[in-house]
Amino acid sequence: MRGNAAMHDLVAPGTLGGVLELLAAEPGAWTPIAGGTELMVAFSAGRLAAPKLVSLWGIPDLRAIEVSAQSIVIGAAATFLDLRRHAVIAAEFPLLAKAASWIGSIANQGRATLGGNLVNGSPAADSSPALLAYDAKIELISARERRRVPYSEFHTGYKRNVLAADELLYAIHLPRRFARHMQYLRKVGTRRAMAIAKVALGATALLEKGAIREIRLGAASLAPFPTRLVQTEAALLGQAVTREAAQSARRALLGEVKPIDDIRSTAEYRSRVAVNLLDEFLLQLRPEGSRP
Amino acid sequence: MSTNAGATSNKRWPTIRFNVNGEARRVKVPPMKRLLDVLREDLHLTGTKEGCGEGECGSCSVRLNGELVNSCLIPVMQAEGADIQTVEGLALDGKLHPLQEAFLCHGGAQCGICTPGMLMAAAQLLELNQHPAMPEIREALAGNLCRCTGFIRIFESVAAAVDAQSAGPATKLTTEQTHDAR
Amino acid sequence: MDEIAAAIGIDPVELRHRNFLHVGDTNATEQLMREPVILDQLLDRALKESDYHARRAQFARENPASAVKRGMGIAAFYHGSGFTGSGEVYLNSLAGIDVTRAGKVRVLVSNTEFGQGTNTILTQIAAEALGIGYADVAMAAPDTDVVPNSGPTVASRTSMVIGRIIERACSQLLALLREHAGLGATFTPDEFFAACERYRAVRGEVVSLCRYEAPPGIFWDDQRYHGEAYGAYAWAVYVAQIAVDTVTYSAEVENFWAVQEVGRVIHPVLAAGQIEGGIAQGVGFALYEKVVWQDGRMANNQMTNYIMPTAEDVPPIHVVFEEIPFQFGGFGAKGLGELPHDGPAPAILNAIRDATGVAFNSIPLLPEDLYAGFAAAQPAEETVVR
Repeated sequence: MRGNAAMHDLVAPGTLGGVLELLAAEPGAWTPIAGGTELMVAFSAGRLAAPKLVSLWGIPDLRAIEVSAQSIVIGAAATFLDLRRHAVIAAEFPLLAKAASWIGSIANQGRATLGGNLVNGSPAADSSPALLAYDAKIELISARERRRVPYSEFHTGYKRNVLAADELLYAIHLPRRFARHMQYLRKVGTRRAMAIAKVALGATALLEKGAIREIRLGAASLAPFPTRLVQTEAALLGQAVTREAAQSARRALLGEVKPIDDIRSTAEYRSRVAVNLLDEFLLQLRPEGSRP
Repeated sequence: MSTNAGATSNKRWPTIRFNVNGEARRVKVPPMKRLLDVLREDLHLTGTKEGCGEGECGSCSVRLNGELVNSCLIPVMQAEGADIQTVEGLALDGKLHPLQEAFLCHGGAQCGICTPGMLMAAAQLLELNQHPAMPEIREALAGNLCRCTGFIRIFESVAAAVDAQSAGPATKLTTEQTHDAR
Repeated sequence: MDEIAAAIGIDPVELRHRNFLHVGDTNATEQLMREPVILDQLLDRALKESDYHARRAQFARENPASAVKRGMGIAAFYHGSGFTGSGEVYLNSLAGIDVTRAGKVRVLVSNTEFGQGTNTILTQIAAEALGIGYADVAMAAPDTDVVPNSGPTVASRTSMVIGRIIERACSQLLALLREHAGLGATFTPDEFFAACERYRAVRGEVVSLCRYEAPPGIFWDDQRYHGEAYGAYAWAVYVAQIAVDTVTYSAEVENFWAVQEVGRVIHPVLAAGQIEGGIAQGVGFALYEKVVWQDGRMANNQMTNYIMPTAEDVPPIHVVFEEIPFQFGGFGAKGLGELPHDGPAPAILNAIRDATGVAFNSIPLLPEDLYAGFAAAQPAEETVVR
């Protein structure tokens, strides 16, 4: 254990207003900590550079999950167990519930938060492919204002995002319009549990008269941050799921992804498996028994 | 290895209060001190172990406000007002918990380092689900690593405790029931 | 072995039957097999327990249309008990028992309990050998200020070598008590302890120690590396059922059977625990636990990136013991601690070969390695091979 607790200040204003005041008073000086499942790992390893931390734990405003006719609004401090236990998420956003079930252990899921997963910004983030496939919008809040950005625009680089120095990630908005979409999510890890994704693909698609009317593909670990596979989507949009369309989609996929060799896997493996996952999804879209 | 032993006597640390195994406790320590270290060093409850310090092995598992958590990842300030159960709190009035009995009978423990965490994770499972199937037992324990047993006898111990606790005729769980479809 | 079988067109099971050691054969160091060798029986039992032929036939039918390819693999192996060659002779272990005034027998060994069951089985052996209760026996702390040097806790030696010394020390004490303290041919535990006190009154203490004695006819030539490498061997046949996912190229063990002959099993639960734990470690070595080196340093030195199997990764493990008591082991025991590590990797590799037709000969085999192997065996195509 290499962390020195005495070297860190940790305060808990206990309200959203109190947190925002602090961030406004000293922008960039205070690091928010919710469940701690990332920051405390760094702390134990002696790598936590943040001298001042402000706790987001136990603030009801940040953890609420609200359902309206059009959308579901998930508080950034909702834990993954909160997501798994929520009836509407389980029923209408099964990819998110699935992702919540394989992010670490049950002990991690009870503390790790959706907002924390996004702000941490790992390219392998477990919730990201699902959120991309569901066209999520991120709500940011500060003492100055509230604003929303499409989740697909939240990350701007490796572990970089659009949060201003005084801003907090407040909520994640999902539109309740995927009930009739084909949905797919698969994570390829190092083992069945407690695995960081080597590659993951989330997809939602709507077919009309045999053609793809809507398609969203969200990928993890194929770029410096989780991304929509826009070129692959473009190759499939409006197409029937034919052999030609599938081949064109595969080429687009291989062209747009930028996987790397790292401690966990290789670029070549990641590319190849990404193609396999896409194929697996496309197979799902075709009528029973036929293949692309 | 850095230690906070000297720092804990500093008056500027806040007092943090919580319940552990039904007893009110309080400590005056840096708010970032890990709950794991507070349990072991300040409260001398050494049943909870450190295996990795990164939330991967589950040796440090305790129950906090009814949820299973890795205490190595919790700054103690976030435990203010919480109800915490450690492995020391499993036995009741000197009588072992059915899980503990089962582990003894079925060889669920070898070196014992993972055992407190396994017991807490299994206790959490049985709290939420009195009749878990084998895939649910495996999932519940997936965050607890064991190097000695290969997990098999731990599954059998949990299954035996399920059988011991259930009112009706026991469904014999075997380690065959595994690997449900992805 | 499966490669050889394929090359010459013989069934892998048949190839093993034809090449197994039997009593009267000599092995690689020209050691004559004098103790029973029942590999044929173990193989037959393993095939039966695992329903090997039926499963293999089923997978052969199902694999062509399945994205997940399944296969079965066998490994047959043996592992020596105790130190190799002259090791036990050089260690010259000393161990035994004493009796306290409080009426407890203490086992005096430097072998250490760390969860494998040393304390339990040596207590069992002493209680049984003396004819007293299990609760009448304790273990002295393994501190060589207190106990004699009975060697390290390694080499699958404790149950066989140390168990045997304890057994002999117990017999030795009974003989002394009969000769000098009026202990009868049969006796109750109370009578045993009373005799101990009479003995103590005359001798001042009640202690019985014995030194290691090599089994007769064991000779190892350290210069030529020739002769009896081990006094005894444990024998095993393991069977693995593997599933290879052609989408992710990952291999998982779905089921595992372990049949072994280990002499007398002193404690079935503890013995099975050793086998299961060793197999899980073997599965980890075969499929998950790759060490990544960068500039001489282990780069994946955290539990998050050094990948060992979790509770969701280990297969069901079916353990079967055959027992042929070994005359020179504690109550007939041979060693079994290291045995289970030998079997999983070859069984898994053979199962992968059975499932996919591609042979691998290195471990750990990660999906990236399987992918590279499949790609090499079949030139790359754009489409997924199903």
